[in-house]
Amino acid sequence: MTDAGTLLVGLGSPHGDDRIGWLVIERLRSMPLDGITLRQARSPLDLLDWLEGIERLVVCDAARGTGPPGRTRHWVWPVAELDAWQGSGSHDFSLPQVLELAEHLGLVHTGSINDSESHANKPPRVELWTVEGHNDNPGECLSTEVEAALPGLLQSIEISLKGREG
Amino acid sequence: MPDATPDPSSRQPIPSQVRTIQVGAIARVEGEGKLTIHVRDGQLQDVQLRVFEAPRFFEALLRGRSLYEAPDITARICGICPIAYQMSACHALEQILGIELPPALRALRRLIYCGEWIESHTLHMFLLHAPDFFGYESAIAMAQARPEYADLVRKSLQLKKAGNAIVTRLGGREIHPINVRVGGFYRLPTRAELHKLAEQLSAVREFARETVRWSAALDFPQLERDYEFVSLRHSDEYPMNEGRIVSSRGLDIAMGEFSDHFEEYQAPHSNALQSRRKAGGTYFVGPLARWNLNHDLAHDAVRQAADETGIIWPCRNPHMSIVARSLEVFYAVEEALRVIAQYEPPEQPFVACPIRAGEAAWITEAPRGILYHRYETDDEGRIVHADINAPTSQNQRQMEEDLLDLLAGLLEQNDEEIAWQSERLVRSYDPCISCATHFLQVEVKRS
Repeated sequence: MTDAGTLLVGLGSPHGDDRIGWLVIERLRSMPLDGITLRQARSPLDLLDWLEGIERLVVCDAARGTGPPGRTRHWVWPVAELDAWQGSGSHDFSLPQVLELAEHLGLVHTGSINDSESHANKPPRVELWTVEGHNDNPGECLSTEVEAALPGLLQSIEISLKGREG
Repeated sequence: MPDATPDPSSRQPIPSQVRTIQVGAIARVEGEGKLTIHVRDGQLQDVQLRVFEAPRFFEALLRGRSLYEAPDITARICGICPIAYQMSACHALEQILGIELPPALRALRRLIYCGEWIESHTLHMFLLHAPDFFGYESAIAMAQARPEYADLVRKSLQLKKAGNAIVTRLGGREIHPINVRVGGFYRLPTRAELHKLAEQLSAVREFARETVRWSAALDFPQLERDYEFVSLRHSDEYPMNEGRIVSSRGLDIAMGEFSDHFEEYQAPHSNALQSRRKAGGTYFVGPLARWNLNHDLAHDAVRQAADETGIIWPCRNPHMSIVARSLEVFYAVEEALRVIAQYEPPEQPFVACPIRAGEAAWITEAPRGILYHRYETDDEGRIVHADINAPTSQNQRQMEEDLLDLLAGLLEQNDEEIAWQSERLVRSYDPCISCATHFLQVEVKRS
């Protein structure tokens, strides 16, 4: 259960570069990150189950159309550039669709991340970390570009988490 | 402004008029498929549900693997109903090994299935199907349009969450559940863990009941056909993991006789195998079939909710499958609470049994209908042959026949309206193309 603080979710699947979200969570589990809950998810819809009682939601996922393969980017929701980001299956909702739905339902906060107001009783703010992937074929490993981006991504996420938590 | 209508005398004579209506990727269904409608000289020629999601060859992948791996491998066929695959695989392989589950393990299997029915049905009813009834493109647009719709979606997410919680607790994790095994479970839940689930279920129970009233009051398109509904039927409980195969036309056979009465075949236009009755004809599986054939076995409170809708059962309108889903969600909530209240932890989490060669077939009721698994194993416990027939494959030809019936009355409409009505009908079945390829785009060809 998520009690409070920050929830970091790695979205992904076992396929190629789409594994990056899950890998980030696996690696971060060995690091001392107090007050931060780590979860893996396959469907963005799962996020809707976990928004209650947290102040901050951080999502890590593979992306397409954000730059060359391996490019890491940090976004604060709402992100208009990700409108076309599609889910992997049409039954499923894409991450931007789920966050848009959450926004309409009042389940996520869309104000500035540096807003100094108290977060009590407010829905969580949402940040996204994306890594541009180019290979999500079933059974394949991470591409060399995404694998090379992983250490830097982990370091950036850790600094970002510790910075805000501290 | 010049008249853009060409001089009729300048047209080249053509022997016949072909109209092709294509519905591109059909939205709000699972997987990749397309619908093509062929019209010649104003007459409907054919409707093809073209599943172009690549075949996934799971049956071949299972060959040579330990039978103990089958529940976890087949669970990967579908992200929405992995438990169904685990249930059919486990029960078939337990038949081979001669394992009989003690009542408490059997009840836990039923509980985890309740969780999957709640999450799968609720996802489809509110986030995928409901926008059709209110004229919105998506649940997002619906939630944005009116506060009462947003409230409905918000409550449905709580209901779905209660189902997810059951699957997560008993399945071992949120993604790709791994706690189900041949013979039972790897780890048993504690009473305290189940008590927590009961609290969540109790909190959504009234909304589950309201959902029946809400769904029954929707405005349904008129479409009634003489279906052969097929489902499991158990002597004294609403069917999930056990029972005989029955139909609305009097079929009543053991699971092992499935292949004597039903067959899969390759339709040239589809990557998914389709199914038919060997005696000829299509059949209909899923919540509407299940409820029509088993409503007398539901809990009193659920039957009372069904009676209050005023709907006469059996119902033959596929669009009203949403009402059957809502009844099954209410049933699953009630049943889950019953199982939890009566839970006595068994001494062992699973029944161990020596390996032996054999073959067996088993069927369980996945959210979308009967899911058939058949296995042959050798004396070292390796799978020699596997055969899986998913509900969407079984409903695929029935959907095409429904569309032929629906579209015959719609040909004067424009392609956009035809595509919309077709998609809507297909969505009422909640097809899962990923399962079928172990499906939608719509294309209308007018000639």
